[in-house]
Amino acid sequence: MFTNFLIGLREGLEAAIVVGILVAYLVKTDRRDKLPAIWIGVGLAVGVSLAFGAILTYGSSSMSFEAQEAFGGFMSIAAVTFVTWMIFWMRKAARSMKGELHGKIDAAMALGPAALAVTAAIAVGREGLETALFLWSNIQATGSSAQPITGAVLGLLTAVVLGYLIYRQAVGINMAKFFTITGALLIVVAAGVLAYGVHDLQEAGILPGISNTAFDISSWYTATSWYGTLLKGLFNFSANPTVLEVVVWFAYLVPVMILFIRGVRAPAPSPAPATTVTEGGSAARAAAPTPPTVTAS
Amino acid sequence: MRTTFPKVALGGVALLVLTVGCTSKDKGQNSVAVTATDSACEVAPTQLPSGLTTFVVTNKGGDVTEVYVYGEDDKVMGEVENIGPGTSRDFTVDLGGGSYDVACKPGQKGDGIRTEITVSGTATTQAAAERSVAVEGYDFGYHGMMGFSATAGETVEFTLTNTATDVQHEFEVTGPDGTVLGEIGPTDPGKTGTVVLTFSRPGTYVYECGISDHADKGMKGEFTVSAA
Repeated sequence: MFTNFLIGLREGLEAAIVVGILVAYLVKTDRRDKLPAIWIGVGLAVGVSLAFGAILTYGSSSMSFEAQEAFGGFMSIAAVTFVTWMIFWMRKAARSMKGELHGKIDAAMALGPAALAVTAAIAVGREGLETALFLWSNIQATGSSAQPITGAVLGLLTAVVLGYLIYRQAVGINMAKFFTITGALLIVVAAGVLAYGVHDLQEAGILPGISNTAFDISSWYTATSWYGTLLKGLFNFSANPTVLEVVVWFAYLVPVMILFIRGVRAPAPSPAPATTVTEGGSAARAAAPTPPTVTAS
Repeated sequence: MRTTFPKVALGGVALLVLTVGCTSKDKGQNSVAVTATDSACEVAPTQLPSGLTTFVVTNKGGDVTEVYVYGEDDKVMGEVENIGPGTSRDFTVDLGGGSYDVACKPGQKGDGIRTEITVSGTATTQAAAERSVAVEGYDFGYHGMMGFSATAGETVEFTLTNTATDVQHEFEVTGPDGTVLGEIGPTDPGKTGTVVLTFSRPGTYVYECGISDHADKGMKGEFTVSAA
């Protein structure tokens, strides 16, 4: 039962964190009215995945593994595109906000409901089909034992709880820190998702190099342990990634993180010269104990 | 720009989902049972005709497992991952003639525990049967297998006619190594089924009906395949 619990936890973790951050973003920017957009996205992704999974499990159709991997691969790339776009959109919004706990942002700067719904849907649906197939096989097994499905559901619920805890933490920090920390966290998560997507496309034969392994620590690293589960669920860490995976991971993480931090540290080109830009200040505060006021010219 | 980007992207993803959704195909006519444990990978049958083959994997171990079917040069023909302990998953592969490795990987790492399977030439005319044997299955026994024997390398076609009135019967042949060579699956009363089998190894083969307790009631027998 514990093994199935870990799988459930792993499958749900990343989606729970992305959704948790999205919800925190809406709450902090006084846009709770847009929350339904997120739940619609999540609901759609869950519904479609479960339906598709049921058809493949109970029906007479099957999907070739290449098609499944291609689907996972393209969905992962779509997820990274959305999350990256969202991170930089939120950073732009952060520039116009002071170091408040909550606050309304300019309507023009707000993430539209469509963007919210789609991002939530893709974050959940990316691994949705695979998780659905796993869940249906556990439900099928209830003929012999209810342990697999119980473990899996408990794992998924734990992921939801962790996502909720992230939300609570995020809601309690000031705006600047929120955008900085969640942005950086999402970039690392996105890098993992992109590497995973590349791996899927290699398995599908769409990208070459599936047997070109960069390193292999699976002799001592157990991916199915609790630490393996957390690392995989959060960062898509693989014990034996291909060369292309590793290259892509760095090729995404390094430039995007640099661009992001630079945008966070630099004073925003604001039309009001007397505005205190706190995100630059908080970063500077972390670096050296100088007065936080930075005046944009 | 703010609203068009997500809408366009959503359309793209929907299109992708539709395209991939429409590439699903039917489950195979041939079925292979794979029993995966933490230290073993039992495959039955190990000789099949070519065509769409559905591998039904049952994880009887304690660790999550995955099963791969490798062709020449370890080319991946098909796979299924994330099979939790105590659950079953299946996948379908189109197999042409040749030999393949079925690899069970408990813990989802490494080269796996491998079992070789052989797929014969074409789906319709499998290694031209050299002779035919008509078998009658009744409650509870077989007619037609008395005195049957073969030499290693021979290919024989078996036709089972179920002459019972309301019970299904099968004809399943197990080789000297204990693995199922092939079978005529559950056949309705009054109907026939065929299977073509190649006896590559010499030894004692067992035939029986795998349904319920029919074998115990008498639907069971042996024959010898002598060395070529």
